[in-house]
Amino acid sequence: MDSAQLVSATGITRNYGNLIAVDQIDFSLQQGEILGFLGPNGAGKSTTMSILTGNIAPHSGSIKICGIDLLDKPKQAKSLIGYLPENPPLYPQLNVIEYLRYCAQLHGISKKEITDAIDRAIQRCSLKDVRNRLIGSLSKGYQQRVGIAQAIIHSPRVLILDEPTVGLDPNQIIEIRKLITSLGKECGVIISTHILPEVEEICNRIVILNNGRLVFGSPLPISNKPDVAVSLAAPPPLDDLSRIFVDINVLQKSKHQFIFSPEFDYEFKTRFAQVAVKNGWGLEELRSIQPSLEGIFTNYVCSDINIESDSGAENTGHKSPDNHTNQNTAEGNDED
Amino acid sequence: MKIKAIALREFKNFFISPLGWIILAATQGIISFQYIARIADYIFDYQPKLAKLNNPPGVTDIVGVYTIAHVAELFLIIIPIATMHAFSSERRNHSLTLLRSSPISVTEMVLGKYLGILAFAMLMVLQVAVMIFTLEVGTDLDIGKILSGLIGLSLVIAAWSAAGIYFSSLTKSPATAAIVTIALLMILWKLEWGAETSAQVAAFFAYLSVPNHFGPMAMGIIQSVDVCYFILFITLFLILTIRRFDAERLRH
Repeated sequence: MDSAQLVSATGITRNYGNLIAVDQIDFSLQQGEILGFLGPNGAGKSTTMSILTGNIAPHSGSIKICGIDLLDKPKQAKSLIGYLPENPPLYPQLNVIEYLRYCAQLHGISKKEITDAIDRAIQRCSLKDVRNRLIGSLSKGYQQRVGIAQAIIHSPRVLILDEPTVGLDPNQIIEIRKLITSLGKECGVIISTHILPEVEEICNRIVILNNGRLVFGSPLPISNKPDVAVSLAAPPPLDDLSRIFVDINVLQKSKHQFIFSPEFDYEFKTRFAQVAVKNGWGLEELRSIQPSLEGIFTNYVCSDINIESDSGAENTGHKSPDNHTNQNTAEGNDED
Repeated sequence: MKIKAIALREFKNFFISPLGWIILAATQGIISFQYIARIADYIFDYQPKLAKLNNPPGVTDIVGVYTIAHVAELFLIIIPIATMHAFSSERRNHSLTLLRSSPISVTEMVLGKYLGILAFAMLMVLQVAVMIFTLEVGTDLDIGKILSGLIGLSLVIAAWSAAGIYFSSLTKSPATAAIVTIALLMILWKLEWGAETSAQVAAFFAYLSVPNHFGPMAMGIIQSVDVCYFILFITLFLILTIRRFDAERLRH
């Protein structure tokens, strides 16, 4: 059971009166994974996180944390979770050490180990310089770090962070992201955010929520499989290209433009350049295009505006069009 | 263990902000004034008259019992102010999530808070006690009677603290919690006003009324019915608080 399935949630549903905040959500989290919860405001991200941490009870569905049922044995399950809510639960009148000591006590860390636990959390979150200052007098970035320190004080198996970088300046964001990435090596992490580049930078996998439903789930980085766009002055017939680059999907966009999907063939661009020069195709342009998360996000979340239909035709040449949902929006996003 | 940590935190919180010190200072100021005025009365007014009586009431009754009985009214306001922050400030600070996400039960959370506040409230009983026992320097007190009064006062304060915690769990605003608590305690204190309507209502109101249970203790009579009243009072409000948090988890 311990086999790395840290969180498994099935069919979680939660209503607020008539409003269905979370509707039949299933997902799981494995050891060493950083799972990103994406979605617009009000999509149900925070509600889902409150449910996962036992702050509110789901109306149906089950949640297992490392195999322990959260609803049956809340105490045991909660002791495996570290949680940073949207508003860090801080006491402004305490200093950092006092606060962390209290958190450690709440988690039942024994007297002997408390000092070690506090030192470790302070070191992880680089709080050494401010450890004796009142939390209320710290900057937002430091407060956020204290919030994270609080969440990791008991060395949880699962770390749940609700919009950890909101309201921070760019430097602080970078530091917090670094911290999360390093924490992701020790425990499973679930973070929610609506900042797409953040997800691309730190998550291994994403789920997209919209109107309380889980609309998309995929491993990341999607961008590790960039397509390659080429422009050739004297292009050979499409059939020739497919023959030369076996196993690689190719799509002709216009007379001179082609798009290749080399998947994980990282040598492709070099190889193509050599072949093109040798055959005198007149290589004019060779660049990577990222199937961006933004494209996927807008596609799934803004279903009212629906831009899916006009991309359908061009996608036909792809091996797995479901992964590269919308080439149109993706195109030209990232240059290599 | 965790209850102790929460209680200790709550207790210490009073002294991190000026609130705790101010409450203690104000209490001390008011009760000292009342006490000194009463002693002056005793010396200049009562003593000459008492000398003519056969079996006169002593200083224990005239100063001790009087002080304890009247100090209780002061706590009608002080206790709600001491308890108003218990949960409402945590709500306002968003720090309640810390307790709700920790591996502790709602019961442990509520009991911890309650015991912390109770410990602080008992400091005020201690203030009253120390002041009355200074009389021991100049005269002989009926210690048993005074102790009975102090036990009664402690029970009243314990009951009111439980009510205060409950109302503080309902709202984000400490002031609202305090006002609602004061209103309830005042009504329960002055309940005999409504007791004149009919005999049945009178009996019911008399049972609910706090002074009817506190009065005998202040006079030195501890009855199990009175002790039970306060224990029921405390239990009721603590259970209401626990239920409130359970319901919040389910309904929101």
